[in-house]
Amino acid sequence: MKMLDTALIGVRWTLYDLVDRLYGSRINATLNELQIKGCMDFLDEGQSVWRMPGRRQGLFRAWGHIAKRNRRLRLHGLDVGGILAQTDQPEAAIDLVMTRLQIPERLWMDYFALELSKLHGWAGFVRWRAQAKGYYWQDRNPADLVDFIAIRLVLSLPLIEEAGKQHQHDFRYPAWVRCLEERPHECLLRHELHSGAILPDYAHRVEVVLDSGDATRIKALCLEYEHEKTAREAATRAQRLQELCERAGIPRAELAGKRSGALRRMIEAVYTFRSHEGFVWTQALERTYIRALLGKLAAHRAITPDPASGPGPGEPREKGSDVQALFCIDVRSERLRRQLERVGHYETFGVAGFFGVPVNFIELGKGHETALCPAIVTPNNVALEMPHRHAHGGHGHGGHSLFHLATEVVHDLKGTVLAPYITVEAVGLLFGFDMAGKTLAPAAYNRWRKTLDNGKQPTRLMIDKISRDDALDLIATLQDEMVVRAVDRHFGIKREAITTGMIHELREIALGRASAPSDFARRFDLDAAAETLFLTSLRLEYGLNPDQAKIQLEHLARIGFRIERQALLVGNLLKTIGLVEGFAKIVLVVGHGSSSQNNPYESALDCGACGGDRGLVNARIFAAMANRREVRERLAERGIRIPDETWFIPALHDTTTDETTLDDIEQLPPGRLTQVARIQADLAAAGRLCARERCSELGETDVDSSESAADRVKRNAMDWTQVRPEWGLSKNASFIVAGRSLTRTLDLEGRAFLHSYDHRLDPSGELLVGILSGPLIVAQWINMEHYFSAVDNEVFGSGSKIYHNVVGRFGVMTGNVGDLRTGLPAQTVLKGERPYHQPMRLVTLIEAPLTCVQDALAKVFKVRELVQNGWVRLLVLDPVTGCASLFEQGRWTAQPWPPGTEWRIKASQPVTAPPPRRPRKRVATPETSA
Amino acid sequence: MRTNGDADTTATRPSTPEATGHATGTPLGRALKIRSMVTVAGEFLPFMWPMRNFIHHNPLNGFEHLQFEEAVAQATRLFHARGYLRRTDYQALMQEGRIDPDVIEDLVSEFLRDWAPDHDACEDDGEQLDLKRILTTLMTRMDQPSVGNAYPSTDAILARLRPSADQP
Amino acid sequence: MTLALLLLAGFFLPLYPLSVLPNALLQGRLSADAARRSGRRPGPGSKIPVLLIFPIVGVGLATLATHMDAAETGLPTLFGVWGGITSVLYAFRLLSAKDGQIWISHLFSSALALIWIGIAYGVDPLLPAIGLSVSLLPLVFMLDQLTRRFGIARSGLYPGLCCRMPWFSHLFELAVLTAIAVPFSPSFFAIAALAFGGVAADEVVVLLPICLSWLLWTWAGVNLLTGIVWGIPRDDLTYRDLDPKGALGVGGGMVALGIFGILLVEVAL
Repeated sequence: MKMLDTALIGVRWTLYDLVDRLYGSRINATLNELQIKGCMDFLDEGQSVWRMPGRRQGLFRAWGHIAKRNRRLRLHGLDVGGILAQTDQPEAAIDLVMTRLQIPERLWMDYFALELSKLHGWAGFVRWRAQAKGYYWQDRNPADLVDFIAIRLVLSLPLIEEAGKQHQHDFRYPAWVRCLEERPHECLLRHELHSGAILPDYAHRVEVVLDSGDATRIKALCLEYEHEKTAREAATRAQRLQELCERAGIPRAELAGKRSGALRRMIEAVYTFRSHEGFVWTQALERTYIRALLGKLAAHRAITPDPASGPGPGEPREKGSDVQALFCIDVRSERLRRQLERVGHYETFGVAGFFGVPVNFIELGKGHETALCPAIVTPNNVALEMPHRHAHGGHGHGGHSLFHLATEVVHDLKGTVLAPYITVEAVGLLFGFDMAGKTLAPAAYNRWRKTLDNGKQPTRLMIDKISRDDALDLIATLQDEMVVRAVDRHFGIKREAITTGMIHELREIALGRASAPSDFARRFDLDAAAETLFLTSLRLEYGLNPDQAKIQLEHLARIGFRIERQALLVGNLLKTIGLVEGFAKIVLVVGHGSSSQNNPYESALDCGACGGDRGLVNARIFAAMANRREVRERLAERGIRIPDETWFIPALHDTTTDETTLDDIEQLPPGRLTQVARIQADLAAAGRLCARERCSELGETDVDSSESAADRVKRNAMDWTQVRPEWGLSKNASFIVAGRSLTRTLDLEGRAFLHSYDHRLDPSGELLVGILSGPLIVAQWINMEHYFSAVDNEVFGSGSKIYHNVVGRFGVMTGNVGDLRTGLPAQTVLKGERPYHQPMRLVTLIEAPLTCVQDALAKVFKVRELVQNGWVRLLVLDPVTGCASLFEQGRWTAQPWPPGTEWRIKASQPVTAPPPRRPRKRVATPETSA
Repeated sequence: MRTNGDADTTATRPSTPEATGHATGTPLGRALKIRSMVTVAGEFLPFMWPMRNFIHHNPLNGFEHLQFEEAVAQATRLFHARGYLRRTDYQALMQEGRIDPDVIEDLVSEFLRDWAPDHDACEDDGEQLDLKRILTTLMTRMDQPSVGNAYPSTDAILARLRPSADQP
Repeated sequence: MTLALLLLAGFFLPLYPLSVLPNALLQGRLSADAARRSGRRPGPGSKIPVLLIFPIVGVGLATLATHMDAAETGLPTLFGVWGGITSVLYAFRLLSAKDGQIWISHLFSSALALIWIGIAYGVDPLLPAIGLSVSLLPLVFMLDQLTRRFGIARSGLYPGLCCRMPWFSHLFELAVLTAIAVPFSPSFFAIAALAFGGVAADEVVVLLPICLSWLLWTWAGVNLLTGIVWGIPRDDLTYRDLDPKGALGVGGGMVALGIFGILLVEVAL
């Protein structure tokens, strides 16, 4: 057993960690609690009704302001007022505390890292906020890691000093170093006693000896204890080794008869291997999967009469497929694509769910932008949603039904502190009715609720650029509107009493393009002072000034895409997936989203490529772009000829219920409606088949037919008690970049990200680079998130959903105070105790010449790093040479690929030489590989 | 609301020149030094996006410059976590057919091949034990070992294995 | 004479500082050296006589003293108050006790000291005394089981037994609840009799020490459970659950106690 090493102070243990471990205090827990309470109030994003004051000054100052007056802190014995009186700058506070604790500066960075790792959820959130550009809450209430650490250190100092007084020891750094060096045995015994690792029968003796303080007795007991503990562990290990050898077929007698050299070798082999065991298992899981995948692909290749990989350019497409569909690469789309292709003549493609269109979207009625693209991309364009018809109701929330208003009122009521006392009597019965309905009969109740709700009105997307004249007109209209409102507010004069001329004139005066007195003032007898006051208010409060007008113009300029850009985006996407000719009459553009109730992780089930949102908007935008004549003209100039009768229809695949709904149908040319009806029927049928497949995985019993399966999954989506509405991306295993002909009809069990790609259309390799640097990275993030949440759900995942409480509208905590949970909940990756998601690294299969892949890797640093460091397993199927190569441990190794070769892997063969043909054997032959 | 993925470490808040109204005014240079120390110290932390738009990300994002196995070892040490499943879970996967026993034997052979050169067997050690079979059995048929903080030496274990000390 | 008898009774029905003797006996401190020399572990057998006999002897002596106290000196009342204070004192010390033996001995002292209140205010002390002491028996057995498995019965050393030794944990919980006078146990009825059976029922001087002690016992009981039954179990220890016979034995014993408690109520009322 090792003595406590002084070099680890500040690197693995903070000072209060040592106090906790050696004296059994609970400083870490107290510190966490106090810090979380402080940060939680500051970082709140509109969930709590009573807001923390003074947040604009920054986290540390706002917290300090309150902490100085916090009597409860003083009860804990914490007098933070002393330090806070000296400075309110976080860096200064850090300096002060670290100097008081006498920690040497060379250890400060490690110490800070250690402090951050104690509450890595909260720290991770603060870190994200600190670098988020344009995040409203961060702009208003700035917070960063320096504040965070400053608060923690300021709280820890009095706790450490208090503990020092209590135990009559100096707990600062030099004292600890001395203590560990001069009294190592005592420290070791203390550590054993309070860290919960002590041998139970020694506990009493250790306590007695430590209380006595006699150094010789302590040393003697420590040595005895060490010896005993090591001896017991050695005995246990020996016993296990004996058991192991017996199971391996070596009886104990034979084992005892071996010479010590052999035994020593065996012991060392076993214990060295144990430290690598986890990785070996992971590799085993991956290799089995890779072999199975290659086997499936080979078998599929054998029965499909395709030469190379599908029809080349210039050859006719799949006979009879009269509908094509673009899906997201999501693993759940794989199921639907497979079933759809089975049900009818459909040709499907996979592409990142934002369809190559990164956009900032402003929904109707909302005042903020949502970026619908992967997190690594920043969109430059804005798209708006406009209603088809202008709803009456004039200003304000035009068109909101009474139902919506009622919902809002009730929701606000839920938030105030006094509300429970009032609403239980007043509204309680309604809530009870609601709760009973939702719990006992979710499907029926939700359907009835929907009838009350008018639902969303039909909208159009505005994706074209506004011309400058139109923009100026729009701004002028807005400004006129402002004038009318201002006049109403200030003077109570209604619109009917003033003329358009007056409005225009007031506007011009406010903008400084005309001068007072105005016609309006004359008409209503305003003196100069009142008029000036009014005009000033127009400029300042209502934003009628030239600067504001310029900003508005800039904002309006961001709306929409230029036609050239539209053509570029559409063209890129079509080339990437290899669909440049042979267009069917209808092309579906299917985004995906999910539906669930009472689920803080709802957006984890949505499309990751759309930034955790539904993919419908991107699909609509892409379809709208691709349907435009001007765009098609420009595409034709580049060689992509979309026939006039081809129509792109956006759709949304709800992955929880497996229903696919088509959108923007009213824009369809009238002759297509029968076709659309057939497509909808096919989609419904495919969806029901998918639901059936999924029900067994979800553990649903009593589901015999597809209809009942569909009903069951619909119920899951509406049931607020359902902790697992769908498995989502769990069990994802591979990312396949290839033409659909490689994987068509293969049952990939919903575990593969499928991205369509045709290397023949990509001579320069740019499109492959695009796929690798975008969708692959996102898929790797998803894969790693699932991996770590599955292997250790308590630390890397977020534990069970049942104990989650939503915090500040941005995260969840377990219990009422605790670290912010990151990662996926237990119900998503585990099935009871066992893992459902099989943790392995993403097996990326690319169907392209090996040289192209190597060139592409050379261009993208991040992906290269991931591949070389083994975060992603890269497998390349070269269609030209017919070889399969796996990148493993820094080298490309050939895999037995064409059917008819031996299943065992041949290591480190030069890639250029084709593997020799061997008779196919499934039985494992002994030791033939190199 | 969006930013480029690779953490921009220079995104520090510009430090405002502090008013001299406080007793201890930290000089600007020192404040910046502390600030940069904190920024570097925080690099291992994975970003946590607000959950309204859940973004899957790699919790070990700050370790991607290392080899996978090494990164997992460091991160699990830092966070006191497990980096792989329990042995019993993997055995269950093997029962389901997700892991091929042949592959396990291959991997064990590869391990022994890499390990053997440093641990050559001498002639007079007598007949060697079939390490491959032992290690494979360890993986596939033994249950989860317990963890403690006592690490006995090979000799200590050896002594227990062979109670009679007369054989060399 | 009365005083002498009462003081002698104070050894058996613990009054601080006379209670040091029974506590030492229960904690096994006196026999510890002997046990170490002989190599035998002191089992529960050495504790049970103390638990069962001491109260009866003490009650006998005290009753004798009160009978002899024709002069109505008010000594019993004084001893009643002394008993109340002792009870609360030991209950406080119970809160910080982690060792099983110390726990039992302090609880014994705290519980039996309450009998003095009964003696002072005219409650028949025999049945409550028996009730209180008998309620501790299951816990003594369970703590002995812990000592056999881990070498010491102590809270905090091997948490999380509910996961590894479920039978044991269930019965241990019931044993602790019985000991801390939760309603189905005889000690609860005993306390109720002491509080409401005498002439000074509903008076603060009677209710205060009883309620305070009872509250502190509950707190201490939860502390004990937290450190043993709940928590995350250690991986480096071996766990052996109760064998079915042992489980039946203890379970049956507690059922019997429950019945005894009900009988106590019947008789007392």
